[in-house]
Order: sequence, then structure tokens, then C-alpha cells
Amino acid sequence: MILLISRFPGFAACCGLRVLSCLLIELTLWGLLIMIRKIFDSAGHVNGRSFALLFTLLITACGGVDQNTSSVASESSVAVSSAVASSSVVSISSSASECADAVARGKTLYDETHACAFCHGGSGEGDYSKAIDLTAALYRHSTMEAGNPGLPLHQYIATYMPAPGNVCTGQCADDVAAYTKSLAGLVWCPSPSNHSSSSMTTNEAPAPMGSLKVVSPRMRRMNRTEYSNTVRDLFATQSRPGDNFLADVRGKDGHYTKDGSVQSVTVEDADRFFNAAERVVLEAINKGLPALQCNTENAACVDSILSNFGTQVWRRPLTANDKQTLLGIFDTAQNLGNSFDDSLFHVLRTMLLSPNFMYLLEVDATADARALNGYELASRLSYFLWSSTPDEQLLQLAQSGALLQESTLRSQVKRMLEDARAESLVSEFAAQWLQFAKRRSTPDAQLFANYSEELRAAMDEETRTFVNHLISTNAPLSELLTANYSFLNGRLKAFYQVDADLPNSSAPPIKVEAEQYVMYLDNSAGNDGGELSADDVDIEATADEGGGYNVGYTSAGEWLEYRVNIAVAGPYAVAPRVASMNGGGVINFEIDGVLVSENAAVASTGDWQVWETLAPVALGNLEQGDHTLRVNIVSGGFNLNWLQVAPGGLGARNFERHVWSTEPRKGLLGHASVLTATSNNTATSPVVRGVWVLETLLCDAPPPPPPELPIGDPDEIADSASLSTRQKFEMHGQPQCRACHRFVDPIGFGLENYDPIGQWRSEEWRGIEGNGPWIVDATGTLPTGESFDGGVELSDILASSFRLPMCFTSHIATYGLNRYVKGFLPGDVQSSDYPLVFDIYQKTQANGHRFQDIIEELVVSDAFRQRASAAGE
Amino acid sequence: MKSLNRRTFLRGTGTALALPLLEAMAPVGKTAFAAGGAPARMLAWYLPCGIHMPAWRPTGTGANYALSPTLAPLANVKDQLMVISGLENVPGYSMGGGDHSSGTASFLTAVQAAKPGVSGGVSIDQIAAEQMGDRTRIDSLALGIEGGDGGNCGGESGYNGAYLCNVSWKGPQTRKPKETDPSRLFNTLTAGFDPNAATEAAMRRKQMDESVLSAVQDDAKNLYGQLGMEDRVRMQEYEHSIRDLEIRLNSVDAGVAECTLEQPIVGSGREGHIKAMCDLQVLAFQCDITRIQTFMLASGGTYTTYGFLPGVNQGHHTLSHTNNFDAIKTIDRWEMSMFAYLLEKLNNTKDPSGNSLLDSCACLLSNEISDGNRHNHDDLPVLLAGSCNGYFATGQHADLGKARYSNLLYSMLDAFGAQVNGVGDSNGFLNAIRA
Repeated sequence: MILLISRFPGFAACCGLRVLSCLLIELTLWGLLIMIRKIFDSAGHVNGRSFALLFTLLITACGGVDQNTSSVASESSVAVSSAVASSSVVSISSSASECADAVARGKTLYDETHACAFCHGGSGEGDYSKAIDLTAALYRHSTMEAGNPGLPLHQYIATYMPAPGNVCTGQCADDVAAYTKSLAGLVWCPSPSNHSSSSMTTNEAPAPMGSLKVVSPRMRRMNRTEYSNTVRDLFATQSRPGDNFLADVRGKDGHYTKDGSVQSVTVEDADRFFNAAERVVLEAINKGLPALQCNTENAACVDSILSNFGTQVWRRPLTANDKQTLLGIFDTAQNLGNSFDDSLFHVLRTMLLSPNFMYLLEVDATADARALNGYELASRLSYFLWSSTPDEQLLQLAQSGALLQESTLRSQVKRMLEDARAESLVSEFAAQWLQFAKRRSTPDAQLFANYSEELRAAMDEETRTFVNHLISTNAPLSELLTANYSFLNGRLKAFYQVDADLPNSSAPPIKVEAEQYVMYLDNSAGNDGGELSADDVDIEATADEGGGYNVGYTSAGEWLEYRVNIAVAGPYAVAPRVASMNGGGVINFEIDGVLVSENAAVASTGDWQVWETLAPVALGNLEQGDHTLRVNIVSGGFNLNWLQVAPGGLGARNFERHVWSTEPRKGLLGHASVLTATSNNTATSPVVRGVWVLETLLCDAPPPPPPELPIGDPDEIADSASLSTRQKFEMHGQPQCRACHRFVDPIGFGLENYDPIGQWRSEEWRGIEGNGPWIVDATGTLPTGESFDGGVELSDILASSFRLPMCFTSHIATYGLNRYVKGFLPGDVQSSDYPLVFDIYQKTQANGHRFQDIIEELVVSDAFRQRASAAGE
Repeated sequence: MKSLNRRTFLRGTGTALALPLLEAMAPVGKTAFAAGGAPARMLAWYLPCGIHMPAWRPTGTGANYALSPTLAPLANVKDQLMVISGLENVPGYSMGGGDHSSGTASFLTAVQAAKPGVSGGVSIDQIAAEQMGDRTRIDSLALGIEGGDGGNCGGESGYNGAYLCNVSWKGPQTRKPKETDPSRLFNTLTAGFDPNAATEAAMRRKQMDESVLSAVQDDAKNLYGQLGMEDRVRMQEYEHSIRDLEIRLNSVDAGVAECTLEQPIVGSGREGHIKAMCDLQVLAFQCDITRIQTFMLASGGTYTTYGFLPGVNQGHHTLSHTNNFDAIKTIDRWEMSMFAYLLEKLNNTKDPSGNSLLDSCACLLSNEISDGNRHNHDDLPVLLAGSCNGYFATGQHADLGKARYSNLLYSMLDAFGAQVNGVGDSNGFLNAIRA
């Protein structure tokens, strides 16, 4: 299988030592451009878009200079000043006559052999309805965006042109590039010895061109999850106070909330940190946390708490100065007449609010490059693998220095990945990498009556369980796409129609409003909520979606009963909609007077009107007809808005491994979560699905479509009702669309057998109007030649690409190193991060790029264990 | 009864919280109304996903113009309204795609935002808050309906997700956190007034809070010397946030009851949520808790489906790229009805000095783009309601041909009384719309 290094145009980032020369060229070109724009504007011929396109071409020229080392080509602009020309890094390897020959050959190829002129015009002036103006530019998008994948023009032609059909690679591409550049007034000489396409046709990651440079991440604060996990592990609290913090901003990479370079902090944040510290410490002292116990309640005891427990809290031993400050707080509190416990409370909340706790500090007394010390390494490791604070073992190894040895580090990685806390690699890393839990919009309720919050939760949990399995069993990365199994609960078995023993699988969910009880027991006289009802049940208006009322002020021993009519007999489960400020609630369910469920916990949702749907609780088999459903409030402290009763055989919490047999599904691309996350609310979008695969799994994101396209989104084509989704998107056959869409759309077409919520279909029916049916055609051919029929075959092709392990490694390195690791995009071959990603790729190749192997190699790398010198930042 | 939640307590007992006003409310050492005149107020309303402009444009210019079908809901405040045509926000254009993000980021900054990462401009509300926010207890409010507190609304074409859900920026990298929850907002408005503030226990606690917060600030300062420049700036930001918190805690007092703040009842659905937020915007002005507010009716490029509107069954963003103009117009008109709800309420409410809140305000409404499908930043739909104490010539349709949107932002700051040399790419005040 062959997948190209890059399929999308752009320009190589001017980076490293080349910045200066590129910058000079760009600046001068800007001046030139402004001049040109004025001319064109006055002539009224060039709009803003062409202007940007022109800019792109010139920038690409800069990228071309940048690529000299690889392509052995050179160019300079005849139009720029001599000062700039002399500052550019130009290595002319061809004579002027060779340049002229190339241009002449290119002209023939352009005019005749490949009929480029048919779309681009005889003088490269373009035709807006067919192709872009070559005298102006290549492409508006992926300009100006440092770090975007970039290709010099000759490689672009070799990869994309001419569209559609034909190929023009090697010398052909070089010659056409020389000619088209001449149309724009640029001189560019291809190298006869090294044609552009030669490195593009293997399925191996290209070797690095630069060398590894250790880059220090920016100082960062714990994010919400890390804070909650940290205080959970330090203070044995389940309260998750981080949930009350302001939302974290995603890092420069666009995914992970661990990037200090985008973090900001305001008084609104500080207010929440202040409250969280107070609550956490108060709870710990009130419940008598062993680490805070003293035989003699005096300053000496506080001192010893600081020496022991303090080391865990600040993830390093406290200095004498640290202790002095904190003991000063203790003294102040004592002098004001506070009790010992209250004084200790003030000491500990100072510690939790201190930047020494809130920030994962790697401070440098000097500005030199250095290895991390044991404590810093312990924190990097634990916040990478656990999203939490180092445990005692790690801190001991930090103190003894043993953690600095590679063998110890490797064994610690293995130990930590076996620990339950490593689940954060799924909930924090994989969830943000794959974005499978996102929904563009809720699937249309009329079209997809079987879609519910409960189903959505099950879909997401399937993927989480699957990825967790892959990581914990150290599976090869390709299994992400090729696994012939998944993990399903009862609801999903019905949904995927893999289990005949769910006779009620088609039954719609039944929503029971909390305030519509038929019987109740309430502990308090009167309606504490004051709404709707005159009896003792406490009802208030709800701020939940859809409005209405909720039952509140719940307390232990209360219960509510509801009448539920079951139309189709079978196994059911109930999902409660709850909100709770402090958590601690417990409920269970009875059917017709018989306790049928386990206890279900109601954790804090953050506030009294912040609503969450709990995972469904299995109720067992229900006969057709009326039933009494009783909610027992075992422990109160939560609000209840509604209950949803829906088919669910196994119980929602039990996900069983299921091997796909006759079902045409395989790996992640068969997961309903991903398929729903990449659809619109009424129809599939092959574009969104195709882009998701390219961007997320292969790190090969296409640029966004240019604005002001002559045709709009296929959805708006007037007679779209007469076309299948695939037919509509085949409108992308126009050259200016096809340049990118021929890489995007086939992937989406291959998944057309899965409807907008991921259910199998062989016929497509679309829209409320019920347009269709069309027989689904899920065949396709990638531009690189591989043909497939349907998602299963497509997955096999994609899984074999070297891009998958390279892409995953870039992502996990970004996550683990807390900074944007630009290790993979094609323009990054020269980046200082690429050698790291490539090195891990090579070291894990023999064993099939396994999840844990990649993680382990990252941890023992210099990039993970060292800091750069301040000068190198 | 069994809940410790203050909000439900307040509602459960059916009481309103009485708040002190004006001088009594100003932080110690500040005077409520500085040099002369009625207080000016500033409000910026943000809408996403463009407007169907053919149905927006009024017929006629000057005072004798007729409201368009989309603007019809604003009929009751037509005299206090100015429709401004012809504004272009050049910094709103994206760098290689992502115009919802770049448009939103520049909505109140007129600065082109960078990608990747977070780096844009400072918004006019925060410029005003920095200069004059100390005249009220809360310097400014950033409000919205969705996108939580603004950490992330989904990235777009390489732009950070923070851009799509924030229009208020304290610094190029620092968003002013957005409040979307009416209950929490009510708590924020009423915080700082504690009838028990003068008790001995409370005083003792206050002293300890000060010790704790000052020790934390010392910790931050002690780290400066061991950090590189960029990290040092971040550590300073942390220290300043803790210092601001100390100031805030210090300004808690028992107060004198002069303005009654009642918690609005939150109606059902999206509209109920929006109206509750409108009610609180009015209350915040009315009780002079703040004079500067921003509000996002939805996040940039929102996919929210306004299914309660007739004929609307797709997400707003999805719709904006179709030719289902009827549905788009329905949404546009509904958005105007929400704005009208707010403006009418502002118009009918007097501030403590007896002026209509609307007259004292410069209330801006616009969108991150003009046409939802084209993503253009010229021909922006712009409304300015309220004359800001006679500064603007309301009651007209001002067709400016082609003018800089940033000049309007600049003029708003001038009307408000803030002193700056310009906003973004502005090159002067928008004198054409002055009274």
C-alpha cells in the first residue's frame, strides 16, 4: 500500500536558521504585493481572494527556497530587490540554459501533453469556474499558517495535478513547475538529479533532516482533571473540586488542555482555587485524615506534617524558607485565638493555593540545559500517565535518585500503566485525540427516535472501553482500525442488532418526568420547592434543557413511584437525570415492589442545576403492560429531573467483548460514537468523516475550503432531494473542489453504509421528507490507487499506513511533553521534534508499534527527561 | 430545606436581596460618580453565523427610514436605535480559513487573532473596565448562553477553541471568563454583601484570609528569579489574580439596603435562559453593580438547533451554509426579538439618578460575519442602541458607504469616557453618527 507523505498543498514553515532570510523575502514581497494589489484593485480585476492567492504563491516561493536541501532546486524572484536576492539561501545547481530548457519542456507539457491550459488558461490566468490563476497564486489556504503541511510547487504538481486522472510526476512535475513559475515572473530551476516525486512513493516514514532539539514546555498549571485527581489522591476525597474551575483552554495543538503557553489566570479563577482549597482541607481535617494526625497539637507537629505530607503535596521536600512561611501562618492563626485544627486548616489551604502546588514547576536556578531532577521527573511521569500526583513510591525513587536510571524508569512505566489511574490515558488523552464524544448537533429526534442520551453514553463508553483495552493489553496500533471485536452493553447489542435475545430492541425510550409521581414518601412537611404541587414532594423549576420542573431537597428514606407502560416485553434499564452540588447521593430501583437494581451513586455535577444523565441501571425483564417503578433515595442531596426507561439487556455498566462475525464492522471506524460524531443531525457527511480520518488518524488535515466558492455546500444544491448523499458530494468533481476533495471524499464514501448514528444501512433514506431510497455505494479508490468496498476494507488500507503510528506518536508526545510537538506533518521533516517521533517510530516498528511500547520509548527519551537551556527557548 | 445551596435558599424563602447603592457600594476610597454627568454604560451583544442581509437592510436612510422585516421586532425602541450600514472589520478576516473564529476574536478588539495558540487583542469592554471599572463594585461582566465559561468552543481551521466562545479579552492571551448560568450570575451580583461581615468571627477569618493570600503572593514572587521571561509573566498573572481576590474579599461589607435585586425566574428552554440573562443585565445596570457588559447570544459558528422556531430543524451553522433563507430569516428575526426584549426593558428602567438605562448606554449589536455562507467581514449588520447620554445620534439609519468598524468601537470608548489612542486598526472617531 502506498500513501503519500502529504496530499495537501501549503508551504513549508520558515523555521530555524532560515527564518531570517525567509522573513526578509516575505517582508519585501509584502511591499511588492501591496503595490500589485493597488494596481489590480484599480483595474478592478483582482478581488481579495486572488490577492491572498498571490501572496500564497510568493510565500510558496519562500518555502521553495527553504526546501533547497531536500529538493536541490533553487529559485529567486526576479521582481524582488537585490538586497533580498542576496540574502536568500540560493544554491544554483543548474545552468541558465538548463532552466530555460525546463521552462520550454514545461510549456509543451502544460499546453499540450497534459492540457493544463484547458483549465488554467493559456497564460496561466486561470478560469474562476475551473481552476485557479497561476500567475496569482496556488491556493489561498494553508498560507501564512506557520507549521501547516507544505509542499513546494513541483511536489504539489506531482501529488495533485493534473486533476482529474492523469499523472505528472518526476521530471514532468519539475518542468511544469518551472514553466508555471515563469508565468508568475519567477525563475526556478529543477534539479535533474533528484526529482521531486522520488521520496513520495514509499510507505515508510521519511528520515529526519534535522537533529533533535530539547525544548522546554512552558510552565503550566494543573488542569481541572489533574486538580481533582491530585486532591483525590492526597486527601482521599471524591469531591472533584476541579469541576468547578473555569474551563481549560486547549493547547496550541488544538487538543490537549495541558499546554502552559495558552493558559491564563484571572481573579475568577483565583476565586475558585481559593474555594476549592478551603473545601478540600476542611473535609480532610473534619474526617481526620491520618496524615494530619498529631499526638501533641503544637507547632512541632505541624512541622513534621510539613516534612512528610508536605512533600507529597508540593511534590518535593519543603525548604527551610517554605516551612518558615507556613509555620508563620500557623502562629498568626494561633495568636488570633484559632484552635489547633483551625490553624492547621489555614496552613494547608495556603499550601494548596500556593503556586508551588498549583503549578507543575521545573524551576531553574541557572539557565543551562539540564536533566530533570528526580522530583520533576516523577511529576512529569505521573501527570502524563495518571493525570495525578506522584505516589509515595515515585517520590521515594525521586529522593534516592533511582528514577533517573533508564531501567527504573521503564519498570515504573510498566507499573503505572497497570494501575487503575492509567485510565486517564483514555479519558484525558484518547478522548481528546479522537474527539469521539463530541457531537456536532444532536441527531434529529424524528429521524432517529432510538437515539437518546443513554445510547450516546453507551456509544462513548464502547469506544473508551475499546481504547482502554488496546492500551492495557499493549496492542499494536493498527488494531485500533482492524480489531474484529468491540465492547458492547445490552443497549448497544440491540442497537448494532447483534443480539437476537433483545426482543424489545426497537422499543422507543420512555421518559418519566420526576414530578409526575403517583405515590411518594417525603420527609419534610410541605413543598420545599414551592412549585407545582401542594403535597409534600419538593418541586422546583428546573434550569435543565427543556425546562419544566425537577424534584429537589431529597433526603435518605424518601421514595417516589411512577407508572410505566411497557409496550414490548424485554430487558430494560433506567437512566436518571440528576444534579447535585456536593454529590453523595445513592439511589436504587424497584419494579412492582421488588428491588431489581444495584445501588447507583449520584456524584457532584458541580451545582444544583448542572444536569447529568447517569449511566442506565438495569431493571431486568419487564412484561408488557403497566408497571410501578419506584425510586428509592438511599442517600439524598441531589435533584431529579426525569428518568428514562429504555431497552438494555446487560445493564449499561457491563460492557462485554463481542467479536464481530457477520456484522460488517471493524475497528474504530465501525464505532457508532465516531460515526455519529462525524455526521450532521439529519444526514451523513462524507466530507466530515473523510476529514476526520485524515486529520485525526493520519495527521494529514486538508486545508479548509476557500471562501466564496462558485458553488456552495452540496447540501444547498437546489435539487438535492433527488440525489443520494454520495451523488451530492460527487459534485466535488469540479477541478477547484476536486484538488482536495478527491483525497477526502472517497474515505467518507467508504463509510456510507453507516447512517448518521452509525447504524448499518444498505439503502439510504434521507430527511424528514423521506427522500430515497438509494442503494448505498460504498466503493472507492484512494488517489494513491487502493480500491475498497466499504468501511472494513477501507480500515485495512488505512491501518497499513506509516502515518498512523507517526500521527499517534506526535499526539501522545504532545500530550506527554505538555507542548505542541510538531513531529509529523510533512513540513515537519526538518523540525526539531521530528527526530523524536521518527526515533520512536523506528524503535517500536519491529513489534508493530504497540501502544505501551510507544509510551515507554517516549518516557525514556531525552525530550522527556531533560530541559533546554533558557537561551534555547 | 436540606440543601445548603444559597440560591435555592433565596428562592425558597421568597426573599429578594437588598443591595446598597452608589457611594455606599463603591470600594473603599473610590467615589461612585467621578467628574460630572450621568454615568455612561456600555453593552455589546454578539450574534453568530451571519445575517441574511437582504432582509436586514432598512429602506431609506436618515431619520425617515423604515425598519426591515428582520428589524421589525425593534419597532418600540426605534427612536433609541441607530442602524449602521457599511462597516467593515478588516482584522476579522482569517489567516487561511476560520472566519468565525477570527471574526469573533476581533469583535471587540479589531485585532486579527493568531493561530495556533491564543493571541489576539484587548477588547473595548476590558479597556473600559481597566480604566473606569473601579467606579462600580464589579468592573465588568462577560455573559453568554452557551460554551460554558469560555474555555473552548471547538477549534476551527487551526484557531484555538477559546476564540469562538469569548468576545471579552483582558489581554491578548487572557479571556475574561464568561458566565452562562443565571443562578451563578445572580450569586456573583449579590456576592460581597454579608450582613454578618462585622462580627468578630468574620473579622478574624478576614485577617487569616489576608495572611494566607499574602503568603501565596510571596510564594509567587519568590519564584520569579527562577523562571524564564514568559513563565515569569504567567507567574505575575497568578500573583495579580490572588491580589485581586484579596481586594475583592476586603470589599465585602454589611452594606446599606437601597436597591432590591430579585432573582429572576428562569423560564423554560433557550428563550427562557436568554430572557433570564437579559433580566440580570438590566439589574446589574439598574443597581449600578457594573456599567460594562458583554453578551454572546450563542458561541461563534454555533451548531445549536433552534428547533422551537418554525421551519428550523438544522443547526444554525449548518443552515447558514444552505439556501434555506426562510429558516435563516426566522432565526435572524428571533434574535432581534431577544434584543428588543432587552432594549425595551432597559428603556423602561431608570437608573438611580432617574435616567432611562437605555439612554445612558451605548448598546452595540453585531455579528462575527456578515453573510453566513460567504464569511465576509464587510457590510456588517450593526445596531447601536442608546445615545450614551446624548453622544450618539440615534433614531436613524446611518449608511456610511464604507467605514471602519474599529472606528465605531473607538467612538464607543470615547462615549463611555475612556481615554485611548485608538482601537485595533481604527484611524479616528466615527463622527458621522455623533449627535
